[in-house]
This record gives sequence, C-alpha cells and structure tokens, in this order.
Amino acid sequence: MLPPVGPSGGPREPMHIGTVDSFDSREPLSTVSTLGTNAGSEARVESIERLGFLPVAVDTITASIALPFDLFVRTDPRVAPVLFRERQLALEAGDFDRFGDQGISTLYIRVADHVAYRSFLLDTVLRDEGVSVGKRFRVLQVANRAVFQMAFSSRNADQLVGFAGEYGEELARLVSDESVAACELLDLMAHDYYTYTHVTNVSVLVLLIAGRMGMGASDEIVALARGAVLHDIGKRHIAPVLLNQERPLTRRQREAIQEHAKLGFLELCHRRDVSWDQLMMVYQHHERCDGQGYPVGLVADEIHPWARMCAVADVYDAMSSSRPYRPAIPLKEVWEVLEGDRGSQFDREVVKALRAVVSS
Amino acid sequence: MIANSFLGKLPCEIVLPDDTRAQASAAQHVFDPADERRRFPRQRTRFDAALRYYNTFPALNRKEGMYRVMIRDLSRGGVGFLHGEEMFPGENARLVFPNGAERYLQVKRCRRMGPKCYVIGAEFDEPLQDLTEGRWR
Repeated sequence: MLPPVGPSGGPREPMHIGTVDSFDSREPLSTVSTLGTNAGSEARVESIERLGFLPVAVDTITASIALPFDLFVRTDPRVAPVLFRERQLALEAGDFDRFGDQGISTLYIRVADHVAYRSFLLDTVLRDEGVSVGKRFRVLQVANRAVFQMAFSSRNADQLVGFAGEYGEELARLVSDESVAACELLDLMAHDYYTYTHVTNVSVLVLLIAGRMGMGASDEIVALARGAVLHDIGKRHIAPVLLNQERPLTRRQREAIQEHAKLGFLELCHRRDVSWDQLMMVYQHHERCDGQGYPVGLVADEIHPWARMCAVADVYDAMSSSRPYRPAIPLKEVWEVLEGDRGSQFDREVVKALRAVVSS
Repeated sequence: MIANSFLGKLPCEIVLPDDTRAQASAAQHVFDPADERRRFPRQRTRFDAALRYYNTFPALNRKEGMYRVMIRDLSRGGVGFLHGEEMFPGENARLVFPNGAERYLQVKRCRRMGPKCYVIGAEFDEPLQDLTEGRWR
C-alpha cells in the first residue's frame, strides 16, 4: 500500500469521503465515459465524481515537475482516494516504479482541479515538440476529457462553446502539423463511442477531409474544427437512456433523438461567437444528399459543405465504433455503406477525400 | 381586409413538387394530426396569406418585403404553411391573414417537399381567439 505523502514527506491520514463504490482504480482514463453515453461507465464516473474526484492516467503525469493540483491514489476500490502528493510537489521516478509494481494506472484529482490539470498537461506535453505525435494526441484527448465532461453536463452552453473554441484550435494545430501523418492520428483514435471520443474523432476526421479537399486557410480550419466539436451539442437535451437504448427504438423515440440537431441549432443560433457555417454543422449533419436525412430533408448542394463533411465523418466514426446495442462494424462494411451510397446519401467528393486520407 | 388582388401580386416562390405523392403531402396535411403533444387541435385549411420576415438571422440576408404563402393548417396556437424558401427554427416572421388580422410567429420546424417547396410549422406569439371556418380568410 502506498502511503499518502504530505509536503514534508510524512504520512497523512487517508481521506474517506462519502460512500464506497465499485469503481476500478485500474481502469485507464481512456475507457472512462463522458456523461450521457455508456450507462454503466457513466454510473461509475458519477460515483467517483460524487466523491469529488476525477480519474487521470498515470502516464499523463510528467516526473519532476511541480504539480498545480493535489494528487490522490486509490488502491482499494472500497474506499475513497487518499492524498498521495500535495500541490506544488512533483512525482519522482521512484513513484512511477511503485505504481507499476502495484498495477496502478489511474490516479485521481479533485473535480475542482480539472482546469489546472488540463493546463498542466498542455504546458508540459502538448507544447513540447520533442514529444511524439502519438503522446501529444493522447494527452490532448486526456487533458480535455474532464473539461468536456463538465461543459457537456452543464446547462449553460457558454462552457461548451468556450471549450470548443480552445479544443478546436488545439486539434486544428495538431492535424495541420506537417510532421503528423493522417494514419498516425487514425491509429490513435479510440472507438468506444463515448460522446467525447466521438466528438474528438469527428473533429479530426473533418479536419483531415478538409485538408485533403484543399481547405487551407488556418482561420477557416480552426472555425471548422470548432464547429465539429459542437456538432452534437443538442444531444445534451436527449435522455442518455434513450441514446443508449439496446432494444429497437419506437418511432416516437427515434423522432426524439432526431430532435438533437434542431435543439443544438436553437441553443446556439443567437450567439455571436458561433458562425453560421458552424451552426449548419450542428443543424445539418444528419441531412443526406438524397433528401432522406433530417431535420429538413435537404438535397446535395442545399446542404452546407461543412455539414456534408461532418455527415461523412459522423457516419464513419459511428459505424466503426462499438455502441451499446452492437459491436463496431468492420471497416470493409463501413466502406461498402459509404461508397455504395456514394453520390446518393453522401457527398461523393467528401467520401473520396476520406478514402484518400484513410488509405494514405 | 387584404384584397385578393393585393395578395395575388405578392411574390410567391412556391413550386409544388412534380411527384404526386409529395404534392399531395404538401397540399394536404403538414404534420401528424394524431400528435397529442399539441396544445391546440389543428384544422386543415387552404388559403393564402402574406408573410414578412421579422427579426431573422442576419446571415440569411432575407429580402425585405412580403411573400405570399399557402396556409395548410391552423390552430389557435400555430400554423402550418408552404413557402418557397427554407426557414429555420427560431426564425421570426409576421403573418397577415386575408381578413387583415396579423400574428407574429416563430418557426418551430421546416421540412423540404421539393426544390422550392417547404412546409413550415410555426407558433404564434398570441393565440387566435376564433377558429371558425372562414374567419381568417
């Protein structure tokens, strides 16, 4: 058992807060859900959050750098996390060895410290060009997960729009980095279909498609990324139980889910910090070129070009990710759907661009 | 009262779809009449009215002036009509009935029936008091 260590190095009393839950302390952060997605994981996250903590992966912490947050460890899932290292202190190489020995891959921070954790990650890893693209991308995902989770669960759209601004810019910067190969990013994508993962994947895919289609202006690329981060904002208003229902949806339930495009539009349409192009990604990303989409049933060029890119990225990620009611669909079948319907459901040029990106 | 000749002169951009089924759908009822979520029951109807955009989204660059739209259903709380342009949820307009009565409306939904034919569902800012057949024509 790792002893909790205070600033002076002496042991501290474990902090038992709230009730015991069944959260597995070894669960890596990458498998922890964001709110409103997988019901089982959501319950676990809510449970640990009720205690006032968020899980963070050990490998996102850099050794020998003072931490701007308190760090907690949980070796027994029946008790709450206990303080391991106070803020302003650093983890040392020996600490990582001990984590490894004890099979601990997840540490905890206070929920209130999630912004400090994000800043720490961005400052220590993301800005460091000596760090591999893989690690930078993973850190970018990890650093933003908790902030997204908070923003997505907030009733106020301000947080999510603000988050989209920053996250979109970071994603755009990473994807536009000429040293980054598209296939590297594609390999690093998770496919668990948690809302945050989906939003990240769709944003990266949209950026890669846009790059392939010749969209070059950096302002436009950043705006596109921000729109992609926001594209499913309307799902905040749909009951998670409905989004994750395993049995077939009734007509009324399907209509309720389809409302998310309109609800997202309505939530953002009067904001000055969201452009019309971005709004169309929110409103039209379920439109189909053959007119069979929703909410309006627009066809081909009537659909905003950014929404057409978003539609292809959205379907590609949705099909290739596991869902509560089905496993991931093999890529071969995903392409059969996308290319089989090329020109009818999906924009031919966009599908071609995605194919080129994936094949590169 | 708006003279029919005045209404007749207003630009009407609606092109009813060629497809018979779509045309029938557009010309008849707009949304599911069995929808029990509605506060006020709808009446199917058929007459023209004048629409002017009001306080709409700047990005749309809507033209000034009035348009002739085709009213297809009416309830105390809202209206379903055909228009030649897509309208967006939250968009506002003023509707002038043939009898001269006016209501501000806010778009709730829009569905494309053809290239220049959209079915718009909208809610009034103030309920109509009397739905007697012919009262609004």
